[in-house]
Amino acid sequence: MTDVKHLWQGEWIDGAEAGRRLADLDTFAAAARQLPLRTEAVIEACTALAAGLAGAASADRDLLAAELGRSGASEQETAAVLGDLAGLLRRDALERVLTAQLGTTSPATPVPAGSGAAEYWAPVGMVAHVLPGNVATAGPWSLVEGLLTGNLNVAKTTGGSRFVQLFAEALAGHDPSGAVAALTIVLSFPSRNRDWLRTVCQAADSVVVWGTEEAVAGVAEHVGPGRRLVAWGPKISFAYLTEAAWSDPGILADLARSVCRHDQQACTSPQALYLDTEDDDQLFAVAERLAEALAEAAAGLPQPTPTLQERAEITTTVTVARLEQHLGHGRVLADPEGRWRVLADRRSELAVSPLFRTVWVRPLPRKRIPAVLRPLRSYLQTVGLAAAPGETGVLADEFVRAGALRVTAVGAMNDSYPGEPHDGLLALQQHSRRVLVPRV
Amino acid sequence: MTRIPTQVSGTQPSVPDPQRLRGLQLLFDTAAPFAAGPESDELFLGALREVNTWHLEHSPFYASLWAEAGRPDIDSTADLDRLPFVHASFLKRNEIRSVSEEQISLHLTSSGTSGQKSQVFLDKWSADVMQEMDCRVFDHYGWVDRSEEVNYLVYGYEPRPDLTNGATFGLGYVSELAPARSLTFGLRHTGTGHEFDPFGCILALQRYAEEGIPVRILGYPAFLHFTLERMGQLNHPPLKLSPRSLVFLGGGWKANADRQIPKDDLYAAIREQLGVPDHRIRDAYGSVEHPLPYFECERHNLHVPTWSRVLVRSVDTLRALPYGETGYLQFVSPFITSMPTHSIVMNDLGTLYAPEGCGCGLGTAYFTVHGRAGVSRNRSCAIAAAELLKAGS
Repeated sequence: MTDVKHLWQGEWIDGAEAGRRLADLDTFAAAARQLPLRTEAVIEACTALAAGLAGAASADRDLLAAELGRSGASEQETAAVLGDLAGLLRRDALERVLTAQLGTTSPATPVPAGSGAAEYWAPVGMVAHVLPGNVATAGPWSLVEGLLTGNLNVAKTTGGSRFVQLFAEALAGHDPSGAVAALTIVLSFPSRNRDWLRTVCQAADSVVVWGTEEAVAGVAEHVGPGRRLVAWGPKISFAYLTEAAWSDPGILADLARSVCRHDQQACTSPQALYLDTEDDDQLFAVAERLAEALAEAAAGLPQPTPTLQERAEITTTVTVARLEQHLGHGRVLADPEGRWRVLADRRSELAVSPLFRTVWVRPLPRKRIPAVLRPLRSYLQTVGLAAAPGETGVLADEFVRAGALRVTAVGAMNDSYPGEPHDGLLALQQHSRRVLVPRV
Repeated sequence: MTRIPTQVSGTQPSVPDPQRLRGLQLLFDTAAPFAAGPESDELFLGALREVNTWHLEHSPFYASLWAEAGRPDIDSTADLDRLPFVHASFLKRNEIRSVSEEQISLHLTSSGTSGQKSQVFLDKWSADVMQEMDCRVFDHYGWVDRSEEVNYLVYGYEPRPDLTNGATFGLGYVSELAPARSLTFGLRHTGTGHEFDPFGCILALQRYAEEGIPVRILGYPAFLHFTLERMGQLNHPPLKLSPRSLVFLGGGWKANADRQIPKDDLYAAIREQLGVPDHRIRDAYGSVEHPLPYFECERHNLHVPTWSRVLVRSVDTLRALPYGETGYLQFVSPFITSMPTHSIVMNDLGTLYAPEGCGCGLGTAYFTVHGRAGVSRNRSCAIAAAELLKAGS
């Protein structure tokens, strides 16, 4: 019974059967390529499921909530995941994603182009999704991106949770056309199972991998030449203030709220505050004021509950920073109750925070931005920027040249909108081919 | 008290300042590896106080740290938790020394999986005593036998072949403890780097089994596991190595952590596929930041030698924890004179147990290691320190 955990085009099967079908994956993929692109059917199914997830109770909601609970999510986390999904899957949101990324809500409809040609978006064929074990919304959303673009989707999940399978089954339940079921395969297996990973990746036209550098490298070796690899790797974000901004108490309050939001767990959360200065006194003075702002922002919020390993990461970082105080490298400003920590450091290198309301404060004079940040370009994500009005554009360009993918207001680092680029890419385009055919 | 003869160096290592570090010299010269009791504690504390003063006088960093801790006196072992400590992670970014550069005879860097490496500087005394301590623990367990040749299989890095100088080059002092008839490396030099050579390892083991003399298998457990796994996949029948063979593992699984199997499973495979008796399979804990020997006893527990004391600290409060509770491992040992690391908190989680709990008869406490204290990746898409360190390397 426990081995019947794979969902193959609407059918629950065990590992032995999945192995047999995988041996024939190319045949399944060839059959799926014959299916018409039914973006509208996918939108309909998503919208119906979203309505159920947004409500207080529905069979879908109960089922998915129970599965999240079984894999250790708190009620609060479960509500947040299902609420996020409901928001992502609404018709208006999906149409905005399609319009933003493909320029149309009906990608398969040819539009006249030059020289007697017409263009449209065709599926790449098959998309493999190597999903993360740690972000519950990522799996469903990745599948929906593959479905909206008309591809056969083969998703790899890991661990004991059947959340992605149950999501896919629930979504298919709202699709009378049968397209969602026909285009969805969800397999649960560990990365140690290299045979399955290789089989899935080699058959795919586009491979999406969420995860660490190792996960990406482990997948990349199986991606055939000329196929697409879309790697959503780990990222780091920070805030950058010029003197005009740090003298504004409202900006530091915005930053403090961004540090508190999501327990700083999102990749868009600021891990550091950079100041456009070379003056240690200014650095330490701003650090003091940020500590005050954090104390205020954290007051009344529920205390985060890091795991033992996460607590050790915090303690190690703070302990090392305290030791470095004896070498004159910086100062530690920590709440005695453990609710937040500000680590001021006179060195410019970008350091990773142990999160849970821990923030570095470091100097980065603007002329040193390229030298300090460029080596880390593949990891830079959001820069929360506050500067005098005339400086903002120039600095934003500087960060983009250094590798940043999003430059936002300090208080808006975590905000997003439907269709927003994901780490510099438009996912729907990654799963599509812009093709041209003779105009008819 | 009798002076313990050295195993390999021939000459007795001597402290950098015989006047001021007399107690340290005495501890090294006279204490049996697992001596325990009030007398051993006195000897240990005497040496520790001397070294503490030594570092206070030679390291402004440590003087500042000690002052902040309230200049604690260490009158008994119960006071050890009051001694300030450095953290192993601190050594990844900072070089601290209590001797001049000219006095450094050995520079070690951690082989850790992350990009930033700890920099450890040992003077001649520190380097010599570390090696000598290893040998004394080997001797304690009866593994020094110069009367009979053995065949070595080393899961470590082969030196460049063009620099090779005799069969035991690269084995170091270990070959002094049992003479080598032949030596095989598991991680062969390719000319530009190293490559694990499972077929070479299997061939060597087969040949060693035929020859019948004792075999010594040393080094990283991961590659021994991979060798046994390959033997299984190839349906090779189990080998019967000499029962006087010894499997001595160390260094952990490092980059192969995702393929790690439980220790009991590995030991069972060694017994079954190589015929090495359980009590002659031993693991060891060690680190560049604190290079003292912690070897498993015959019951596979890591006992603390008389040259060191172990504490466990809460990962939340850093308070010292009682026996049986899990936290950061901390080592206190007076032997390193070149760096103020005589009190060091490690990046590993561990649990300390009272000596009686083991049953092997050794009178010192023992500990278990539960892996790295900290996250290697975050639960979300935010990069973790361990990942960014790798990226920067």
